[in-house]
Amino acid sequence: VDRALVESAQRGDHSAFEALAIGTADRLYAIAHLILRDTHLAEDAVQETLVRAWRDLPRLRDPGRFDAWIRRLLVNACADQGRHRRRWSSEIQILGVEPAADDAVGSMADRDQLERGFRRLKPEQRAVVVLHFYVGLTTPEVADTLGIPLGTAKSRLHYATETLRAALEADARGSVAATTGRPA
Amino acid sequence: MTDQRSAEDRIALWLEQEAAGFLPDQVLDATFERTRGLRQARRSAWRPSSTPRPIPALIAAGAAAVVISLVVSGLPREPDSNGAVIPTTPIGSAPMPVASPSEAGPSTAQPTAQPTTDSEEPWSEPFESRVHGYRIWHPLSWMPARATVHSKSDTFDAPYPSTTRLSILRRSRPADESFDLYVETIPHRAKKDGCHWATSGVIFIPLTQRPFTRTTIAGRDAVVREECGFVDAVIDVEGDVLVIALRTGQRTPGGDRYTFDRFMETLELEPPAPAG
Repeated sequence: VDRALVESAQRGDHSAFEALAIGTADRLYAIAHLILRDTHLAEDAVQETLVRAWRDLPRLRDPGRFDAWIRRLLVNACADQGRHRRRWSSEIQILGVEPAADDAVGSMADRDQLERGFRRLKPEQRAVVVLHFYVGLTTPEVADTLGIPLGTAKSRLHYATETLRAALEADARGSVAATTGRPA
Repeated sequence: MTDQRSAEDRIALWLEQEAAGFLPDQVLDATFERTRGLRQARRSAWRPSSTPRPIPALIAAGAAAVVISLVVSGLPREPDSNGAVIPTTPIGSAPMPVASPSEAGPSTAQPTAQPTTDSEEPWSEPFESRVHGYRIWHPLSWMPARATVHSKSDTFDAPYPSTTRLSILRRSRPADESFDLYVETIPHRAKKDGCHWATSGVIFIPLTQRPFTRTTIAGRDAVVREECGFVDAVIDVEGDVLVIALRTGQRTPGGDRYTFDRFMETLELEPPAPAG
């Protein structure tokens, strides 16, 4: 991110802020969509993030940390959206879905199993997974971005990875069962 | 068995495949429409007093009344910490008992939250909600977020680091349900024995659940209640209700009634836009 743009936006230059926003919006949207698994919630989360970013930008002490700072705003916005969804709709049905036998091979199976495993994670756990595996941050960078202790970031990542790995292993067992005719 | 390396590669690949493409232009346009009308915070801005100042009486009472337990056992769910709207009964749980306005018991003094607004804070031009049918004024430093659908509330957030939020939502009231009956279905913020907040331990303030009390807001019949850092209100609006919640984020038995009343003094009701 262009440091001069950030500094201009901090001084109230709306054109500079729009340039910053346009430059980061798609990436933020991708992250929000991965965390929330819902297009509309992700759009809302990005909008809230950008509005808060504009409002609070003058308080960002180090313009060089804009990326990490706005990612933290985004994850907080995703958590807000996630809480809203849990309160007003039921995700119970997602947890009850059984894998289809003919999906139990290849990447389609990965997709289904990972999706299922991912939806079992809390938004804060999803955020760690997305920042680490998708954005490519190291665990200390994830901790720094989210403002959480390194140990917390490590434990969230470990738990989330194990959950997803278990989902993949369940798929592998289902695949064997489908091949051999034995129940998984 | 799937080995660790392979699992991580598959997770990364899946995330890459699942990542959304481009944020729709209209979302960015709507965002900029909001930010163009929004003032930025100042570095040395007035700090809203969401951080509770020492309240001698509360501290004195707190020594006896506030229990911090590091062992959480059978902890009831904490009161709604979002404050977006007054919650409905959670799916799969029994409705919580609620006192009706007519059952208002003896009033007991409750420590209230510190006001988020102060008398020096300038208030803005009106915020008009066509979705929920009202107009209200808010402090310049607060950030409004307009609901775009009827199922979502309009929200007004106090500036950082405050977590105070005012939420307003219009809901239909069933034709065969009186206003009083509707109010009775609204759960308490407090559990039966008091306010619970789950943090690194448990913060608990004993409290008798408080009933809604009758009042008038914007010239309409209304009820209002302070409980566990919230001020909740419901206004009777011609077959609908306007549900209002002011969350302070403070751990006090009462809410920020001062700020709530300042908002309500500016509230004007209007017909909402048709749903759909």
